[in-house]
Amino acid sequence: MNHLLELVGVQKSLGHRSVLNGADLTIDAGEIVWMVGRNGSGKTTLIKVAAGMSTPGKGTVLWFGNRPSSRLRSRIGVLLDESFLYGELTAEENLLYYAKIYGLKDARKQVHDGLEQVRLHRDKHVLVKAFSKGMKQRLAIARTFLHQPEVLFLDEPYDGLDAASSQLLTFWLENLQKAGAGILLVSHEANAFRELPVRTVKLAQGRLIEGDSQ
Amino acid sequence: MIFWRVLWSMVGKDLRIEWRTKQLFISSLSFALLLVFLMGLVLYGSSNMTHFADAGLLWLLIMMAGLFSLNRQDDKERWDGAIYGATMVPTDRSVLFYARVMSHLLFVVVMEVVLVPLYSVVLGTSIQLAWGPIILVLLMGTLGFVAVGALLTSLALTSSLREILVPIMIFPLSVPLLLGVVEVTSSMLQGNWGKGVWWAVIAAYDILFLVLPGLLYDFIAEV
Repeated sequence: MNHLLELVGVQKSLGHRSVLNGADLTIDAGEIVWMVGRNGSGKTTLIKVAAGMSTPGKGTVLWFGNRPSSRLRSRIGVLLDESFLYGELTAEENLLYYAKIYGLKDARKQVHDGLEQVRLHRDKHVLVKAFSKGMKQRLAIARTFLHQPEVLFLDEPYDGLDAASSQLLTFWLENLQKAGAGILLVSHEANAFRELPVRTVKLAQGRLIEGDSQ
Repeated sequence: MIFWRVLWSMVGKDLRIEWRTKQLFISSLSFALLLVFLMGLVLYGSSNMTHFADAGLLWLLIMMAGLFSLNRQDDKERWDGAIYGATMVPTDRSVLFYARVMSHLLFVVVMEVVLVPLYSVVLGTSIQLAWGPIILVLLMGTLGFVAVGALLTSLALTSSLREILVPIMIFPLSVPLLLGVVEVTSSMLQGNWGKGVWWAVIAAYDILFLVLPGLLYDFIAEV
């Protein structure tokens, strides 16, 4: 059976600096992989390469056993430190825009449900540029999960969230994991998901080293 | 089908944001109107301006105003990384380029609707003698300029020097187009369609800068 995500010997340089130096990784259905590493070790770069946002210098990235393609991008969800939202659109307009891009059926209902789940339904007509960091992060999470991706790349998803939102996110991750999604998670908030079954990998000197599972 | 759906969603988003903020329209139009009145002031009473100079000034004005807005159009895309989200579209990434071209084309055309008649009045040109063909050359010239502009702003999107890089690159690249549209517009002011070779230059330029970036956009959209 194909892995949901497979990286083989991935190399990537930014300028003259070699960031990834033969990174290997597989993620299977129902697996949460927690990637740790020092600041500047290349975690975000690895996520961008794995998510198809950046091309590897060498090596192979496979999604569902295939080379990344525009068709498969609809099965991928990415949350980085930037929200990918438009400040001059309201929360509802932002999600509707992404819902249309992904061709979701009954987009308005799905957007309404998404906003309700992240407790932003009362602020749906507020421009995102007026949101606090936590509100923006919640909306970005709703955007990431909107099209129900099967592989998720989450870079510091707990950043800026209050306790209730953190619990909700952990609950969602657990549900997604049970539903068979594969998740690559980068987070310094280990306590927030300590009850989730995660496999730990460490990124050091551009390579991934298997760690413990919890 | 997916391509068109994504394209219209992106153009709709751009128009919605511009309708709400009017940032681009007001700033670019103010800049262009100021230029028209300055031209009117310095060229006041200059009855011996050739049709060629008339056409040249008009196109420089359009390109300056278009460039002014091109540089600012990306501000909303850079806000909190929205442009990176757009690279995750479930279709060919060239859709980003074509959406950018279409949004900016609509925007510059609306600006021209105000600008060109005003230019005609302030500088006393005889554009009203040949509106139909003038509209055609305005559309073709604007399309070419907007396409090369969309390509260059995409290339310079993440550069901190983009506000310098884009003007430096766009004007040399626009020389063939500028020559073509000025020649044709100048002929039209004299009541004829202009030489076929200049129409061919404009058409070839449009095709080149609409097709080539579409083929290369996956590399250009690299984060």
